[in-house]
Amino acid sequence: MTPTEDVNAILAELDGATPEQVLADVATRYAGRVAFASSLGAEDQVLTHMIADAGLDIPIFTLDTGRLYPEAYDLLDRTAKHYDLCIKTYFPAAAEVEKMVDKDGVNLFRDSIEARHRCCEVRKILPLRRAQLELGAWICGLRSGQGATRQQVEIAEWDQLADMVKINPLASWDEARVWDFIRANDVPYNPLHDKGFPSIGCAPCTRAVAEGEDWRAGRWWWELPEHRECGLHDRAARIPGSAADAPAGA
Amino acid sequence: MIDEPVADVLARLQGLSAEDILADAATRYPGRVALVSSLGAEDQVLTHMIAVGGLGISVFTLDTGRLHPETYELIDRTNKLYGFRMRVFCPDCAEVEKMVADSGINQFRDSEFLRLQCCETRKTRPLRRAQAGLDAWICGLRGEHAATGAKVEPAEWDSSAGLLVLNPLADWDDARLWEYIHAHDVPYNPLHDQGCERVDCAPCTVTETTQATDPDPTR
Repeated sequence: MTPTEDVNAILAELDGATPEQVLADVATRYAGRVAFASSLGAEDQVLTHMIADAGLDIPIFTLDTGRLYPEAYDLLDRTAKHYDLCIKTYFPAAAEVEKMVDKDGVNLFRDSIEARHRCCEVRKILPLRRAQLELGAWICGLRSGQGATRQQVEIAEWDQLADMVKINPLASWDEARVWDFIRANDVPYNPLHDKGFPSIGCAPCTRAVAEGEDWRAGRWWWELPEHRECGLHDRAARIPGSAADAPAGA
Repeated sequence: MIDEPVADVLARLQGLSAEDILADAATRYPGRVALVSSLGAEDQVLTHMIAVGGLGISVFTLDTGRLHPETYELIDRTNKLYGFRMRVFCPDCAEVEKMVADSGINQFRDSEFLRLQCCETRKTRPLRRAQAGLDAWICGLRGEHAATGAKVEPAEWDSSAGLLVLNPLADWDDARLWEYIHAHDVPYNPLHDQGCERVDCAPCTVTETTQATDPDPTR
């Protein structure tokens, strides 16, 4: 099957499926070749809960960029203990970080969009690629409506950069539904969400947003809204009119 | 390798100011001496002296991956202010990943053994890499620090590193340190103003917040 046929088949078969059903399906469909990449955001905590609760054989991993909020590390610890799970942590390669920081400084991401992408590449994408070796599909917590770069998200997409299927079980959920689930199931979550942080990334590249602001307005707030992705999710190119100025790998 | 006995080094450095000790080290061990800075107040004073004196002593720091956001900002501000770039050493990813897979991301809270293992992986090993090829390293240790009551000398033999270690601020007290910082506008970590005497890794540093909430705020 071609990638498109693969994705279309999943979309047809899982049309109207609940996130729990999507997870159970991919655990079987890609047995031993699927993993969930958690950023420890609210959506990802919901998915962790569903995976743990159903005892699905889906390994969970996270990317420790080395610049996370102290609250994120504590959440990682609490989550692993709460669900008695091993959440595999990937850390950037020392030589890569040292070379980058030597050349452009420890806060290079503020200097230009190219420098910011280089930082995301070294601290997130390269470790992600290591985590994805030998996978046929990866799962993440993308939702439609998560800001300018994530207007339309499907349950299954072809991830060209990773060269595998990407599964977004919460594609059709809205924010209210995420929080209803979290409260109803006592899912552990990052206390920064209560302080105005909808989307939480690395500490220096995240800040709180005001009521009514774009969901990702607090990520790389000094850049244009259509650039506010780290490169894990190849979405900048999907915004009509922004494809031309989207940097490679954004 | 240095063949001068530490006692002789110490005798030679007797009565010298911190600036003179640094200048002496720069001349005597050219390219083979470095300040290993934790970005603490003492290290910021030494960094200032090295930069202002144009001594050509490299400044290294260890990015454990768990530093306070304020510390990274300070690295950046310091680099920009003095127009240089301190070299950052990071832990080996395979070692961090294995440790975290075996014992969790906050394993340092579970036992002293695990805490030491974390320090070893995130600090000591990168420090050893930083020290490779050096004759001497400089650090900001002061007599007042020594909880054990051991006296801190301006020059000591660091047997675990197999290197001479210079402590140019050995006899400085807190008051003198902060007078210097204020008099010379030395950039420092804002956490010091929030009751943090020493700033290390974020989860292992006592701040006013942790003091208020943590039943056992000892590090």
